[in-house]
Amino acid sequence: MNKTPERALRSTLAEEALPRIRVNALTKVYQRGGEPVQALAGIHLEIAPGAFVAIMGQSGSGKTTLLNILTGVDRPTAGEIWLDGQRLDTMSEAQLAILRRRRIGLIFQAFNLLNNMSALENVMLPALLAGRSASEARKLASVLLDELGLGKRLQKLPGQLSGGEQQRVAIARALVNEPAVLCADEPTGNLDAQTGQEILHLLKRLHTQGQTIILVTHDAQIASQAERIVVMRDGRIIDDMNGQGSLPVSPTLLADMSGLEMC
Amino acid sequence: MSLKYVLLGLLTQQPRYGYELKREAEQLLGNGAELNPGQLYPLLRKLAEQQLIAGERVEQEDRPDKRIFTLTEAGAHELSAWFDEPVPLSVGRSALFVRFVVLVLVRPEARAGFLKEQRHRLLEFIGQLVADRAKHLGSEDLSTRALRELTVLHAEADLKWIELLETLES
Repeated sequence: MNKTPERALRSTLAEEALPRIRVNALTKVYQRGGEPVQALAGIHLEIAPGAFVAIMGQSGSGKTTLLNILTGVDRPTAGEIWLDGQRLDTMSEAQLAILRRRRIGLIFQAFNLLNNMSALENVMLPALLAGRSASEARKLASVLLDELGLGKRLQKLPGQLSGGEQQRVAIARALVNEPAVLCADEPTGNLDAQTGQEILHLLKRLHTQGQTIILVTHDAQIASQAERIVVMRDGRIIDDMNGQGSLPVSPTLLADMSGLEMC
Repeated sequence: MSLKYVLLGLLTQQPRYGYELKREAEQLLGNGAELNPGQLYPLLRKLAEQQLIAGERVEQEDRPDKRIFTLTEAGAHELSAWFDEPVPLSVGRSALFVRFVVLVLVRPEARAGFLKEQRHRLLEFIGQLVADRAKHLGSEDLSTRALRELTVLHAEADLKWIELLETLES
């Protein structure tokens, strides 16, 4: 059966309208010392393909638990999680492991690189695990590292790299399988302010290239640079707003002299 | 009393005309500062009356006379005494604080919405400042950088204060 052009268009539109991530009535209860602790208390969230979303909250707000569940690292107590129309919460551990490897890129505060492997090998590893040949993996990894400004550091061990360089290796590793979502948990937390800003700038650049990004942070300066800011407290989303990524920079930010007394 | 000391400070360097003081004060206070001549010139007159500075008339051929200002000994003492005084610590009754307490008095039901709106504005403001900082990285004078960081940190403090009030509420 041939689709009419109109029907084909409609199904394309429907595909485009499909959220990258959809979370429905998600809850998570931990047992701590025999007492139940509600880490997530009913989360509803949709994230569009290509979005750059910051999830901001203090420690204990549930933001990291949410990210761990979105990325299949942790399991919800109840609720649904969908990635590109595929339901995650009902998958087996084995299915989840494959999905995580192929569809989700993770970066962490502590970089989590393998210290006895070179920058290049660290980035190659997930490509090899996803079934690519060694030569393909090498090519992909070196192109990515080069794009991230590490073209001359391929053979260095993590210990021979600065914090900012290690985080860029970790970003390359997260991107090597072209994930549907890049998830970052406090990616600037171990970096000085300036290096942190550079990593943030890099994430913004990846976003403009179409990468879907979820960034978890307690830091308002970091969160403010996303396109959308979701604020969490006590396991709930308490706010959801546009961030700087959706705004132009005002030219006269510091011009207001009202703070200075004139006599 | 701040602008007074900016002017006295600039005059320790060398005598200046009024328009030079305006330009240099703006530069010292960081990029984007604009002083209103309607406030600057009356202040210069007042400082001259108090003999903290001296203004000397300089004739010009086809324009009104201008005045060149110098620092007097009394002005130099005044500036030194200011350096020796403790800097007043910022007090809590900011515009945000006053708006909040009056709003809660008059429209208690609007409290949660007000706090949320302020969070949006502050996050947007921080976002703009951080983006602005990235744009000017390494190409700014000390005053402008120091002013931006001060502004960002104050905005972050306001954000934390809002969060605290929201927690108190629930």
